[in-house]
Amino acid sequence: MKRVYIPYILIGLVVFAFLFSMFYMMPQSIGLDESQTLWQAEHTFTGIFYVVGQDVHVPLYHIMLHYWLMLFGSSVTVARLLSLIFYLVTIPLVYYLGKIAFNESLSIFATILFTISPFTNWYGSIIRMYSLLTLVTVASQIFFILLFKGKPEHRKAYWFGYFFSCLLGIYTHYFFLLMLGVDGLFYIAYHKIFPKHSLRNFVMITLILAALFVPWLYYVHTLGGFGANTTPKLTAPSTVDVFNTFSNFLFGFQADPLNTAILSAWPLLTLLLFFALQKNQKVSPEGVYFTAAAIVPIVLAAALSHVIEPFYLSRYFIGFFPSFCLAVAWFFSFYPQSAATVGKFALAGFMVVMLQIQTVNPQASVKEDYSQVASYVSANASSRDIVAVSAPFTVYPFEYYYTGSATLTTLPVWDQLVSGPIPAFTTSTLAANVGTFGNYQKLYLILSYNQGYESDLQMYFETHYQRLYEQNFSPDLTLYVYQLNYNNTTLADMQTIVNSYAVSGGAGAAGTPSTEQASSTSSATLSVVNYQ
Amino acid sequence: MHDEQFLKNTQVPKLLLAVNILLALFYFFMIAFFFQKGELVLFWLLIFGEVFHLWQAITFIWTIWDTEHDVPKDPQFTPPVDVFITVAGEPIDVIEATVRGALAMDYPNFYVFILNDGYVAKKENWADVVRLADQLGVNCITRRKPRGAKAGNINNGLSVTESPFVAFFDSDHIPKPEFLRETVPYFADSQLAFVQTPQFYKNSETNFVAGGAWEQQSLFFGPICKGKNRLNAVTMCGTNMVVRRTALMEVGGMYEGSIAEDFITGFFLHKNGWKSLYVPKVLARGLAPEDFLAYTKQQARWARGSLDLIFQHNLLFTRGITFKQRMQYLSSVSYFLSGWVVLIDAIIPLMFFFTGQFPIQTSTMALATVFIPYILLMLYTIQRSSNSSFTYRALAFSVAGFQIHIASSVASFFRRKSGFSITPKRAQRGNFLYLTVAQMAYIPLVVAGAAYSVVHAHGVVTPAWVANFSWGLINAVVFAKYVRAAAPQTQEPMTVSALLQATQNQEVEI
Repeated sequence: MKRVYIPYILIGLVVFAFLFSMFYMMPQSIGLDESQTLWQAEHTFTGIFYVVGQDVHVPLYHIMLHYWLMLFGSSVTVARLLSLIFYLVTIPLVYYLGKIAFNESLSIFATILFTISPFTNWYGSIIRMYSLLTLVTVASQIFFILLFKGKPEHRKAYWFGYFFSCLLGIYTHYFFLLMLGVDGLFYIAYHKIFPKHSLRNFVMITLILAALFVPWLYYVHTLGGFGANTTPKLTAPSTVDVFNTFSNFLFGFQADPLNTAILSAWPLLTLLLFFALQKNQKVSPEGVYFTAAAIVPIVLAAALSHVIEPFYLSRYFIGFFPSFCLAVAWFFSFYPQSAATVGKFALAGFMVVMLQIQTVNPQASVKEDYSQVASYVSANASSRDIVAVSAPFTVYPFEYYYTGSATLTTLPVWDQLVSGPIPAFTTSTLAANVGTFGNYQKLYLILSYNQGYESDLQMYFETHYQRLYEQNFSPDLTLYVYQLNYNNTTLADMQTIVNSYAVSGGAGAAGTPSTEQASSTSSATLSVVNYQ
Repeated sequence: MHDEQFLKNTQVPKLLLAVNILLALFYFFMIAFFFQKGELVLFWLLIFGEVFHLWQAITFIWTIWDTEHDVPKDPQFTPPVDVFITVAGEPIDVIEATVRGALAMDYPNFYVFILNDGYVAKKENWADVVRLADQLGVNCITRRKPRGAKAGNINNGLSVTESPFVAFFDSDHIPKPEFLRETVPYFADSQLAFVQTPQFYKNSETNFVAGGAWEQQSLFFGPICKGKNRLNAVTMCGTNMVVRRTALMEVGGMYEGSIAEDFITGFFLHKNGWKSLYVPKVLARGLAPEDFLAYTKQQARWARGSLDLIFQHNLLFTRGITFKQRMQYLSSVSYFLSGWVVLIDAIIPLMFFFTGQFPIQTSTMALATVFIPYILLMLYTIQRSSNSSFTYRALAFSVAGFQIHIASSVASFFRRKSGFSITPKRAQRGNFLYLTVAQMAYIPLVVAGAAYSVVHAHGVVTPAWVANFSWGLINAVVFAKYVRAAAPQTQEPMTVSALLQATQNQEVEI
């Protein structure tokens, strides 16, 4: 690739990411995590420390978001713009990282992979710390590589840059610590390529970082430990989850059948490895570094999730995704030129298709369409009805959009204003909770984020009440409507309900998704059952 | 590429090798004991294949565990050496280049003999060889009575010569001037029977077949032979070697009962307690088979000869060799049984497509979890130990030539007669696709099977289908590389003058 084109390609990639975010990501419904983040960022400075300390995160992003919202307004779009800025800045930095580690040609391909990935485009525009984590991780890697490849006269600046980016990193996400672990392992294996006294400097940086981080850990400890007040609880990752992480990196969040097909084709990796057996191709330290950064944290976190406590989520590894892109690009450098060209085009083309599918498919596994379900309930539930969401913490994104007149509650019933954990679910407490619903006519039950009792809860209503309606809005987000009481239901009411389903094809009455939107939810489960 | 790249930096860190073994064991035990069995016949076939893979993996790692083995030599030790150049109808220019190379060796005390078997092999140019010998001033020993193919030719030469050491070169392997100086001084050790040097192919970059043949060899003559040095189990390869006459005569000369006379003779020498040595220096350069027919013949000869060691010479239980030597020979020989395992691995996806049967039933990602680290590290180890000389082409040649191994093992088991066939030194132009019928048939079988399976399942594509199609595709792509080698080649073979030039200048521009 001619060097002269590279700036234009980089500008094109940044513009692409910006426009994609503006047109496709910004209009997306707010998700549970985003709503929690907004809620946390709305606290005072010390309040943020308090609520984030009880969560499983560290507070840098929340503080930045707090002041960002104060400056520019508190809409979802404004909040998402902060993440988008971090993402857009990261794109040229990924290129620079690849350039100093390998070469321009390899690096630009890695940057293209990074920018067209459905994974980065999703997390590059949501109200979470992930794009900031990616940015600081790449920054720390740049300084780390420069320590042994940069100009000796600038070495002090590299050490400082490394220290500072690591400091930001550990206060952005706990998983940044895994990056430090990879750096340490690499240093042990390749210490000979580092300058003199680097061991002393690394030890000093580690000690200073530890000294600066211990107060936070102590504070978290005083609040009850990691995730003291946090749900949902995670489950230990399976082998599928581990491979899903790599699949998510490249191909995003696809519906189960497509994702399963992609994962099941894993034996082809063997063939790709075979192709890499070429004459005179040596494994460079930089290649080892990025490969280790792409694999070790994921494997380690999966293992520790089984040994200690589950904390494995693919998005937590987003900081390692640029390394993954660089490792993939490096891998292609082993191929003969023609095979590499074909492989690169095939991979990039497939990723673009997957990006498109993830964007338009409402059943993409990462989507949480609380906006649509709230619109539906707002339009259909009256003040004689009650709305219950479960798991209880999903009340945050739901109430962000909910404008209806029906009373909103959670199952199990949870008072958000009272400090402490969410009450545990039991069948007896459920009966007691439902007993308080009194004379409400209908229950709009919104189930998402299964915490292990979703089927029990649903079974309770299935066996005690008549189900009127069911609609799946996005993966794992389903609305059920149950008839609680008939006392005040007139025949005319019943007829109205019947007509509304018959006319709209089940998509709802006035104010519900349009026919066009409903047809786009082609794979959504939609049924009207047992209506008498 | 530098000539000796495959000999440098062959030592892989032992920690990496140990992890490699652990991963191989972990993979095997998961497959054998922890995954749910599917159809039992397929399961046991798979286990048979995996036992074989495990054996190969462990013996390979054991062999390359330490590839740097220094042996003292005495530079003052320069006894007389007879230099044998075995000939049986090869082109005169090829022979001439080798004889001139032999004459140019820098050594105080040696005699060059052309062992001319052209007469008994009914080659038209046998008399030309005699004239060439006269012209170059070397001895020519022409046999009149056929017996024992190449081994018989050598034994005939041994019977009329007398130097205490004999150097052997095939007619296309041109020695470097330092050949004898680099090899003979090791014989100061009176227990040393033979010194072997690499069988390097100078024409490896001239065409597709020669390249694949050499890249296969590079792994063997690189880390494997260097490792065998440590275990006193060096393979005798018949050319580019020096042998102590008394040791050779003690085992009855070169063994005439096999088409791999060198391999078997080396085994007999070990059995009689003699030592062997591998000198990891390119001291002679030869010609790889340049056409697919020649390559196939060469592989079949090696396979048949090696397998005879198991089926006809009781390798497993014969006395005289050490446990390490036995395991090393078994490891070398068993490579030629790998065709059976390739066949099993190729059949399993087809069985799934056409019968719905599978050997194990598990989450496809659970299998990936144990397999990917194992194969990744194994390939890296191979690549690293060969100093990036082993290639995908070599892998494809090794895997896809399964029918050669199968045919050879059947012939050896039933003790069918097999004629000695000299590898042609000139590329035969033509289409050799008929030698790859099995490989070509596999490709449409996978496609047809995959289609049949989907239609049979009413259009449902299951994860198992995707996984089996992927395995089938891998086999098909690897076989396709082999089929390509059999297709008519477009590149010209290397001329002898180019070869000579290459020998003199170390490197050749193609």
